[in-house]
Amino acid sequence: MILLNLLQKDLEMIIAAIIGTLGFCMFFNVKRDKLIYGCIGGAFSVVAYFACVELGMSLFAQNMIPAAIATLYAELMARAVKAPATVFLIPGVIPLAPGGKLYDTMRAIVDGDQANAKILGQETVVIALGLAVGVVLVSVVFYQIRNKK
Amino acid sequence: MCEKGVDYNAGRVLESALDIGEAMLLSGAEILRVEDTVRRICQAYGGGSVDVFSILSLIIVSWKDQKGENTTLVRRVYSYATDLCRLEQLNALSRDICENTPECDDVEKRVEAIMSSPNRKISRKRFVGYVLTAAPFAIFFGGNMRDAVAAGIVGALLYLWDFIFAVRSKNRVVYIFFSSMFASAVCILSVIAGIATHADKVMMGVIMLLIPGISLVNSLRDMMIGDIMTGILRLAEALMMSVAIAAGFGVAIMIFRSLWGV
Repeated sequence: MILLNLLQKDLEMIIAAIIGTLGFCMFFNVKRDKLIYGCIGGAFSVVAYFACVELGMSLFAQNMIPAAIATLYAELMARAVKAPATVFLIPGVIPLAPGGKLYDTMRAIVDGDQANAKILGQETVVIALGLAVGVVLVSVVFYQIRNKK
Repeated sequence: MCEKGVDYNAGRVLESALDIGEAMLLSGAEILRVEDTVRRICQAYGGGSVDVFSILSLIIVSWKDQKGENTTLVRRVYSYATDLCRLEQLNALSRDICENTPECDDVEKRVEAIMSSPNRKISRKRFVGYVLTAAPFAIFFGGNMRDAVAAGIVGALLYLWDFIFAVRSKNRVVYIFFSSMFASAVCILSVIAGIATHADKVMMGVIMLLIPGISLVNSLRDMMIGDIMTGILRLAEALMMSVAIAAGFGVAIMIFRSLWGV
């Protein structure tokens, strides 16, 4: 229900992000036959992101949960297709990177808007942290499994 | 093919293991993967104990094989980038080496074949990559179609910029500063020229090409897996690069503001 609602509302954004992910895969020279897997990872994280926003989660959780999902996908794909997890992970998390916030922060600094700059700067850091924690949570688990063998 | 554990030259094996390790660093592999690969290759050829230590710019390896022969090599790595196609090929190559232990000359040739894929030639795939990253993300951050077109154009120009300057620059932070300044200047010009409507949305799309998101994620991953040293190096780099990006477009905005008052 939420998902359907979401798909109607943010469809344009989701499609834009998925095409952007495709572009990013090409930017980092992912092999041609793996491009589609990268896009699917991006789609997962972007849909999860909008779902989390819809559910009114905190800024940290909004980024942590999609990052964790994208990492889970990447680690599973790495086992299924026998390629390094990075190949699927980087495209998966790229729609979450705080490019917009970073720009806003700098804009506020240039405009001399100290109060806003501080808030936006903090938000940028929180997004980056959420992203990293999401990725790390899942990849640490996989790392432990791999090393137990 | 040399027979496993008998016919090999420790120095040569170590050298080709380091070639692969270096090539992996140059393609943006995690440190853990580099160390693991070097260790596995040595062990596949001659067994014994292997000590590998690697950071982003250096690999040190010391190997005592089953014959009791000690060999130590150090390799300095001068630059690194992210190229996932190469990384994948190198990974497959190292798996193959561990299974089949081919002759070292053969290994060297194969590493060279992977790494020599044309970097100095205009690659259509990468060009499309630049455009297809910048344009959709301009929409993703709330821009309209015209902003996306402008972002695509800036992405294409940034590809040419990278193509002309990237190979020559050793200092990534300074390079990113100038790239970001160039990109924002073009973004502002695109609004003045009447192509785009929101300079900031165009810029947000283009920033996705510069942002060190990968370094950041990799650095925290490194740290959580226990490789604090590499994590700190990468984190410092990611922070420096973010500051450089921010400073670059800050300077560009200020220049335009003082000259034209936009």
